[in-house]
Amino acid sequence: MAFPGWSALFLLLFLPTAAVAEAGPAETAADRFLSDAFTQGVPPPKLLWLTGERRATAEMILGHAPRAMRIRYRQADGRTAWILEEIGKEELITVGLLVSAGRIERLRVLTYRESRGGEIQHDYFTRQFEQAGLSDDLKLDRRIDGISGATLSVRALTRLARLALYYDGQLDPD
Amino acid sequence: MRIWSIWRLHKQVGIWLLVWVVWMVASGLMMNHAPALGLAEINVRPALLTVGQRQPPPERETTYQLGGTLITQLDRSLYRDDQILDQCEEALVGAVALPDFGVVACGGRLLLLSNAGEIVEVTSASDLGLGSITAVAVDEGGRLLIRSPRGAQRADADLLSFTPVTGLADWVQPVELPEVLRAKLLAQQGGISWARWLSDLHSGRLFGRYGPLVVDGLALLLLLVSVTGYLLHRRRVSFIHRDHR
Repeated sequence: MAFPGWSALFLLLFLPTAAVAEAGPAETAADRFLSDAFTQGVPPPKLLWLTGERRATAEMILGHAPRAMRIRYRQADGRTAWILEEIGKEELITVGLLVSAGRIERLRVLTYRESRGGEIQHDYFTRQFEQAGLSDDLKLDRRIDGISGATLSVRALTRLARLALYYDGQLDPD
Repeated sequence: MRIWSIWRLHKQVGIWLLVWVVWMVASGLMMNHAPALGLAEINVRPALLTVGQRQPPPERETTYQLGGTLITQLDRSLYRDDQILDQCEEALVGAVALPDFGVVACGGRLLLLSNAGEIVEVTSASDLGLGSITAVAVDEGGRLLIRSPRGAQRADADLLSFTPVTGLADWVQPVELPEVLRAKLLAQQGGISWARWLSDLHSGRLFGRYGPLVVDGLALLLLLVSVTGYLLHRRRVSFIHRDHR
């Protein structure tokens, strides 16, 4: 018996819809970053309080007081994941950072809201941060090449990379 | 007779220009010392703003009660009573007081506030594993309830983990923003500082798009009066010398 044409059309039209409905609400960039970082399952979040010297050091790295008094992170298998935000020129840039053994394993720009300087989201730029560590004076131990027209965004990313490394160094090993 | 006419014109224009010169000198001096005078921090009263300087009414205006305070969003600015709290590009969807802190939900962002109004934590809904937030409430046990595209969730005390909940919750509703507070916030938001007002006065921008052109014209007139003044002076000196000879 020949496969009915109408049934094929019906399947073509409604199967993709059914698949989307099955997937549920859209996965966000942060979800993807965390699930890529922890393939065995995303660990539950923990809190790092910014008090005393820790807050003062964070302020020194950022060049301004941190917006909040505590930071959320995830930790498993000797690695920590941080989702941090900093203003580039006028808008907040949301960045995911994965730190392993005191070095940046991965840096991803999760949300970029500025109208210019979007080049910093590209892999060729963010790859520069991989394996960067923190020197004694809390600077990155390598030079990050800038992008013309995105100087402030590059600086914001560099500050967040230093901050994630500093925060990671403040934690007890899991 | 011709020289006399030029002299009279020079004198009359000079007297009229004096008003403008005083205005330029005074505003210039004030602008030079604006930081020391704190003029950048003080806003001008709305009555002194020209039509071009006034901000249009905010497109987004929502207020929620948070304990004894009001959380208001005017466009992208979030206020706790009359103090700026943070910026939020999405819509304010609720504010609730929990036993240990207050929670303000603005689109994909959750702000945890201490009782004194300090920001304890800023976290995104996606970092909480919720996608976005559409409403908040408090259950009988004082726990935060969040409505998101992933369903209604109940948070633990530290907002570290969420468990799905079913049933209807009493999602918080916006309240009316008192007119006095609204006027105060609008003045803060749409207001301009005295430093900016002086700069607009100096350049002529205060008087609309043709203001700077008028100032340019007055400046050229001042240049002309300076040149005619010099030439008239030279002529007068040469006359005096000729009479003496």
